[in-house]
Amino acid sequence: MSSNMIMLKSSDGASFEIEEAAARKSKIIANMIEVECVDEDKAIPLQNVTGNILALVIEYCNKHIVDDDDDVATEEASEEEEEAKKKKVDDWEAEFMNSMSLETMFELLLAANYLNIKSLIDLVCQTIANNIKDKTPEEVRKIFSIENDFTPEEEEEIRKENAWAFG
Amino acid sequence: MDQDCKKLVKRWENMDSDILLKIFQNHFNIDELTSGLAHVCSGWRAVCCDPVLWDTVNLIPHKSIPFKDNVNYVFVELRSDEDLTRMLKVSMNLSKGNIKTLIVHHKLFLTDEMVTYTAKRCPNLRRLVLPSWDRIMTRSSTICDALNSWKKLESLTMPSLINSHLFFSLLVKRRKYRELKVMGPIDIFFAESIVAYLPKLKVLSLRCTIIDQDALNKILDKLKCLEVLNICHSHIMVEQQQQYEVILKKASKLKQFLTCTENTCLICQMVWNDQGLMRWSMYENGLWKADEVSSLHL
Repeated sequence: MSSNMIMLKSSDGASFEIEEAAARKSKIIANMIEVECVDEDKAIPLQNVTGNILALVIEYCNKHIVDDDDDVATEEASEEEEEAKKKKVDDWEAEFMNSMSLETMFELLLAANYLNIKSLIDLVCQTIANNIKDKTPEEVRKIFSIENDFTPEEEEEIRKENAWAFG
Repeated sequence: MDQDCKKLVKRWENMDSDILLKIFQNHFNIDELTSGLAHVCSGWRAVCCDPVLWDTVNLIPHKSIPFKDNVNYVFVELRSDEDLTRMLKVSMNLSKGNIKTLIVHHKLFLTDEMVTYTAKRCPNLRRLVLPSWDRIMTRSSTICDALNSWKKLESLTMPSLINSHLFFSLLVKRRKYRELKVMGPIDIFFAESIVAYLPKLKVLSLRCTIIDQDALNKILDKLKCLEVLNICHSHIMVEQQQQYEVILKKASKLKQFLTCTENTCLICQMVWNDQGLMRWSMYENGLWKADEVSSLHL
């Protein structure tokens, strides 16, 4: 194992060891490493991320750091191989997202946002978007347990806005 | 369980609006944005009104609109008109006047009423792409009133017109117009109108059509500010080869003069077969959007 290991500590006190290369997927952690804020013996405290969510983040980062390494190693891979690899990643991501509840997804999104991991933000956003698309407002409210807080007057306005004619 | 549920309620409604905006911005098109997102709750509605979402509005036809093209008139299913009206109303309400670029698909035929409605609600429009005027020319003042009301408009993509002087005579002379793209044949009257009413044009695209030699000469002689001229895949009607040389010489003084130099170009052939009025719906999806001038490319 050539790369350094660093420690991350969740808000509820759980510690995780992660390869530096994987941790660098997070812009925040990468910055900390750049300015040498990271003491080898001390864990980086992440106030806004709980242990169960951090575990997911690390799972994602580890998976993707391996893929990035593969890219470098097989620079001259054929198009088919590239495609096959991309499909593998897509399948893994679909499985990864499929396995979690909406609540977990929400927390994972907050964590990805806090840690600034762009590809993970995109992945979770896409999944949430897919949950919303082609649904009526009522269905969306039900899925996300959102309360309809419009006043009757506002409801009427919205009804007019959605009518099929001008006026 | 009850408690868990409550926790969730609080959270999705109060989801950080920046993140929600990110979702709406990157994963939803106009059709989906106007389909009901803004009716979930007031928090989501507020996010749906963010100007970032409305800078550019790309009106695309609903899937499966059965319609027929005809030389003389256009058939549009009532249902697709209703859908379009609804989409326009919701987007105009949510955008709160922040739309700067409006792109209308070449297969989408706006009515007079739709154009007037839109004009009132997009005071900050800078760029309009409206390739099909088939249904608005019934009352020719509609489009002119709209264009005259968009005081900040700089870039226009329009079809070619048979009675172009009628249209232009109603248009307030516009020094602000920087870019014009005409999707159809250009005759001398059209060129004269452009010169007279849009004197400060910097960029002109007349690609994929048939251009009269006198029209092109007029444009090259009189549009003093012109920097970029795109006539890719267009056929210039000249009586003698020599006249073509004269045009080329004049055009060489422009900053950028774009032509197709391929001898066996497929698109040039299509333009010729269609006599300068491209039947875009017959060709590869999205071909109509292309332009060699990057600021006009969609």
